Amino acid sequence: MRTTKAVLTLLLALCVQLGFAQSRAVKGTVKGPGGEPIPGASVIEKGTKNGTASNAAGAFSISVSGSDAVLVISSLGFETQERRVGSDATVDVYMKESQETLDEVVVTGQGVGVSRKRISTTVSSIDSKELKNSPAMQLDQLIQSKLPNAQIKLSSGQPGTASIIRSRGPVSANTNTTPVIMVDGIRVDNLNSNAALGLNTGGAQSSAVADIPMEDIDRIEYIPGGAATTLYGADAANGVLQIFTKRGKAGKASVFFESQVGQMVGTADFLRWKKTADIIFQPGMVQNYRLGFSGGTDEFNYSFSGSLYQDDGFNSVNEQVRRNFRTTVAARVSNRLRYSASLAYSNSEFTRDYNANTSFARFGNLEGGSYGNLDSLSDQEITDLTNQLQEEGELTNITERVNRFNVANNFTYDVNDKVIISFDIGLDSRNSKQQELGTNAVQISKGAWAEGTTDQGYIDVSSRNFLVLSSNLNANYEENWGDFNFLTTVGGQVFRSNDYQTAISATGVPDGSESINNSADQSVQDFYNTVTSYGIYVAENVGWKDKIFLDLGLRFDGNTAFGEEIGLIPLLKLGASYVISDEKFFRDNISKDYITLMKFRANYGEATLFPTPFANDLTFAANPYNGLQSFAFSNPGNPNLQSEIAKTTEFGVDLGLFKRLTLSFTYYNTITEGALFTPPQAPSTGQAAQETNVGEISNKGYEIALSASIISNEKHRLNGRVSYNYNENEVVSTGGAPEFAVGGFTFLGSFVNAGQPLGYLRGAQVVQDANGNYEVNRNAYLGTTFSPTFGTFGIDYTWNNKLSLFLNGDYQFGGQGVNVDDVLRYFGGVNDEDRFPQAVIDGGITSFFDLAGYWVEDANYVKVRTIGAEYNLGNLLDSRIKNLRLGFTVQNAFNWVSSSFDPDVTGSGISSQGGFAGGGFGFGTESAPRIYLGSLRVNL
Amino acid sequence: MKKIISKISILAASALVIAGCEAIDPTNVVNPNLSEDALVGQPNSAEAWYWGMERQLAVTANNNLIISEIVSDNYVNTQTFFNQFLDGLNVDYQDDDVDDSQFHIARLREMAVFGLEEILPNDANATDVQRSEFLFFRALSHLLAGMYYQELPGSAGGPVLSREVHLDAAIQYFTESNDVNANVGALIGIARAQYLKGDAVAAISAADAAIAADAGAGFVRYITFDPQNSRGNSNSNNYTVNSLQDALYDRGSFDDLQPLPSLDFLDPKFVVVSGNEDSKIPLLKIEEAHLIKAEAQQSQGSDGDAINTLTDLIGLVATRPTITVDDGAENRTEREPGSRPDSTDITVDGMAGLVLYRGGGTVTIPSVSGTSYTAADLAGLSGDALLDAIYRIRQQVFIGEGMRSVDMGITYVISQNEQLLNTANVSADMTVPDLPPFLVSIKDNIDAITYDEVARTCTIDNDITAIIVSQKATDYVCPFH
Repeated sequence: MRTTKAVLTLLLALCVQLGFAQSRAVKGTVKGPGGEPIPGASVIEKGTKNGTASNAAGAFSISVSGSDAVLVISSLGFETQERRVGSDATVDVYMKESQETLDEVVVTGQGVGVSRKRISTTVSSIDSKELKNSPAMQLDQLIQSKLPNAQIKLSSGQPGTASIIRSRGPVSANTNTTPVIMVDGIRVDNLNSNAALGLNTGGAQSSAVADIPMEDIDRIEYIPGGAATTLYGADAANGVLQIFTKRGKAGKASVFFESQVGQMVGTADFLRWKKTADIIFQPGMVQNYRLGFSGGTDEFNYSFSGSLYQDDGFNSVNEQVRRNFRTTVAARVSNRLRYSASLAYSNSEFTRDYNANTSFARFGNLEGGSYGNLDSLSDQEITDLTNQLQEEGELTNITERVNRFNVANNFTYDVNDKVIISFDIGLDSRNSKQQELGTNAVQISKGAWAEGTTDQGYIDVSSRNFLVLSSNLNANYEENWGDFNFLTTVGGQVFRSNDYQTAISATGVPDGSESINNSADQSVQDFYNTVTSYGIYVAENVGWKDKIFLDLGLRFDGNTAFGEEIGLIPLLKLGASYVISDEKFFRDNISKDYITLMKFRANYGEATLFPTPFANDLTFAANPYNGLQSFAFSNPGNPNLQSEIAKTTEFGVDLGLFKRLTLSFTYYNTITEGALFTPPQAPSTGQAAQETNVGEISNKGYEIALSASIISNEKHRLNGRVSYNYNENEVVSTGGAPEFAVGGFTFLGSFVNAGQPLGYLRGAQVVQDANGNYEVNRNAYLGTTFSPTFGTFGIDYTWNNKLSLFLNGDYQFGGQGVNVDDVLRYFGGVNDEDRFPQAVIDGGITSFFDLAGYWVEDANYVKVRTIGAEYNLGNLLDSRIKNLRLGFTVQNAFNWVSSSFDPDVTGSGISSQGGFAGGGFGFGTESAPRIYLGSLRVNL
Repeated sequence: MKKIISKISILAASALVIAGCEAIDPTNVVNPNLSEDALVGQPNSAEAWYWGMERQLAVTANNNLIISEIVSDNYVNTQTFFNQFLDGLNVDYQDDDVDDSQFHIARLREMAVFGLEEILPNDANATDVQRSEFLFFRALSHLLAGMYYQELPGSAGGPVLSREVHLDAAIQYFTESNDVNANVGALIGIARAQYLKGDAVAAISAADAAIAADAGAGFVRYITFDPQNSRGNSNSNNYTVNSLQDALYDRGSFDDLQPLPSLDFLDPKFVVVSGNEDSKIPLLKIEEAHLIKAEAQQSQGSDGDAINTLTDLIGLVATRPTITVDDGAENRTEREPGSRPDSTDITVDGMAGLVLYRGGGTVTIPSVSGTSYTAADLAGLSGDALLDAIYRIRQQVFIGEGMRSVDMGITYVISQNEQLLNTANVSADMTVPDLPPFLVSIKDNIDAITYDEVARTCTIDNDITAIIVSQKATDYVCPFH
């Protein structure tokens, strides 16, 4: 029967071929390097206007003129392929990722989508494939080690904690280096530190970056601060991170299901005593389930993705649950109006242990030597200590719950072929509640109160309701005039954020109550912070013969945080790029086989960071004082307060070599003028420090990114990438203000002073005089926590479009950090051996203030953040399963460090509510755990 | 065209609806805090400003008492949380704690001045009692400047005044305070200022005036804290927890000051009263008038009168309240339990009964004043032996009140911030400490002890009181000599 069918088909085919002379139909599928279908790929018969596009399953069908016909298959982000049809009835095409990304359209920094070729600045991006490889559950972990010019360090392994994200060095002493974060063009809460009234349980800093909804991310673009962010104004001097979510594709609905199951293990690499891990670390289960579907028509499409994540932490206290979903829709409302929207919700709940700067911290006490040298304890003592800390852990009750909504709406109106108006409006609403139940029992267990105490229980509750509404309106006009092409953008942007916090403290709470109502007394405080930022801009991108581009922009920026004497601030951007490799003379002399691309770019631009809201006003306070109203001086006020302006000059070159390598080099020089400092006033004034534009900060350096297609054939593909960044940071001037602290401790802090890096480590240093005697040099420069050199690397290998192996990591060199744990061990007489020269101690220098410099260590590291493998089983069950993949990843896999502590972790060194964060104080908190995850992903 | 217009209108309307959720004008931002107009000229503002100064007094105390106790021989700092420079008598113009000390002394003054010049004249309900209090705080600020500093600016960014000028200002404003509304605190303040100036006659006169005004009531003016409404960390202007109590008694933040073993029976003077109340700390108390008077009498050669005055004092101290507290968590020390004397059978410099055992239930501690001295101990004392007794009693009576460092002749310096921001008035030489050389020579061992846990004996390595008396002729100590 089967044979009969085959013969009939063959006959029919012959008839058709005869009947239509040479014309015949060809079917095929366009697939990515990993075998995944590529929808929307263009399939054109070369030299004709005959063409089609692949559908959602990557399939296409085209009628071609004959066997000699050549199909040209192209899709954004992939190298264009040409395939001769020959006698094949089916042409399956595996696309190779493009090493030339000049035609890629980027959005960030431009207001509208524009090809990379036209812009004079750098934009890095992470595509969905790279994102898929990462098992990370929070944004900062996800992008860690994937962006060539940004460094991400997680401050603690405790759930929901802050990170330090930086690229071109710190441009401000007033805020941390976290970039503006946008989801589908709408700003989201990027507070990467404890809130002003956040719960203080030692050192753990909660972060809003940790719970940005992560579902259905299609692509992430990042531009470092500088000229590229001028159009964003307001607070974009630290760069902009844009997240774009997936949209459904026309065609049959597709469904996917993914499950990840594994184990989380405490990282013991940096422990002083292995026994610390034995005593309090416990492996915990990690599970994540994700379900999604998408589909639609040419007129309307939709997608949905939801996930449920849970882990048991790596000790008996931490637990975490996350629930996320995102829905997106896109519709063609009319021939000219398109509308798309995404709605996301995330919910996180987790429990935390006490950390760092409190003697309640279990981990901190073990590693800080509170129990002496753990190696010298007897087995019985270790057992007793384990039981004791187990009991403390069971009594610990610190929880945090976050509910968050993101809404983004985009309207695009094609006025005509040349004018497009785009309008975004949306919001991010984040509500968090932190709660610490300080029962009598937990305090007694920690030795704070004598056994039998019943009236010292407390409950602290911190709530934060944050809402940011933002809206952008752009009109984009494109015009050609001879060899010139003009892209004119006029736009405006406004956002308003409301931050309302309350902290409730109830004391005298009897054990058994989780309500503040059951207490002897309660107190409450609030914090209210509102700011509106608005700006209008005009930008002109002029192209000449599609080779030389001029990029001009002017923005006027206003902000309610400015002093009353300040109006709109003008911000300027000027840039140029030149694709010399498109020149005929270049091509005549240099083959494309050697240099596929050479683009020069240069620009100047101004970006800002706005001042702390309300810091401009002169205010008084009425403080509660034993039930009475008590007045006091509060903020002195500054009518001239305005944004600090980071002025960047940069130039660079992009090179494509041997059709295999792309190399990008950028030199930048940023001067922050009117840098916002809050230095102390003369003590004799009795007045609080006032934020003021007095400083000047310099950041200069270069960024080199190299990516290579090392092997590329049908069977094997091996790609690698590595980046090298160098940053030199210096406070040029403090405007006459005295040196002031921005973090750390009295004995060794992070300071701001002219001639030194921002937040440099300052403390005593023991030096030898000419006679060989030791003396103490107070307030010496001991190092910088921002390592001048850093970079990322990654490698991925694909075999037969089935098996892929990948690895990525990052490194830093040249910076320093402080082993504060060992300072604490010094008090217990169990500090690291050889920490100090014996002669110094014998010389009578024994105060830890004087010895501070010895705890500063070089904080170099190379860390492999993710390593994994995935096997693609492809089509199964007669295509009822389009695709099935099995994977395994290890997160935080390997570490090589020069210091005796984890350079990422910082139990101090992140200020509250968005302030300066230099990190570098390693103590009292666990490193990010090692996570082993198996995954299964099914596409239907 | 019509279609386009309608679509644009829809777009614009949606924009307005969403943006307008906040307000019609999104730039309309209201600072929820108080402007100057909300305060100055308002009825009852003087009352609220007065409580503001009481609150500031608590903050000023937090920024002066602990460092004073640490720099003295009263307490040793066994943990990291509090100042470590000063424990080794390293007075440094770059030390943040020294900067904070003078900042909060100045803030107390500036608040008093603002109260007198801006608040009082504009408050229809202001009273003389409030004026008297504002003057009292102004005087107190100058008194603290004169106690802890050789010299310090006396106004915002103003000229540097010597301690004598500060003490004279204190006397002037205390006198005005007492004139506007009679108060014993101002009289004790005058006595202390006269004592520090070394004027025995004026000091006796002021002390007598205070004792007479007190009329046996046992006057104490306290610093009152408010842990329930404390905000920020310990460096904050709004930190109204009793920090010294935190250091002496509470556990939780690496804070662990341990007393000289000879003062063990007086520690912790301040404990948690309840979940929302901390101990008060005496600011000025009538005991001081007796002690100043006795020392002045001794300096004038009237040893008998001095002993009588001290006997009165011992009688007064006996009437002072005590607190009974479970101090079992103390552990002498938290860091290295058992490394310091911790039981009643241990002798300190041969004396028994000075160390308490805290592991067996509660202990009872004087909360205002305590002394190991009895009237019998004073009998027959004269000359330096009597002066020695006076300084030991002073140390015991004033423990935790920031007086011992003053008795030891320790003063701080003008901070670097003041030097850099008040260049017209502060010269480099003003940032160099002038410390008693007899203490500098033993600076690392001021509170050192030798403890033999087996023999149950403890020796104080350097008897600071004996050193004070032996150095009485120097300008640093014993102002009447």
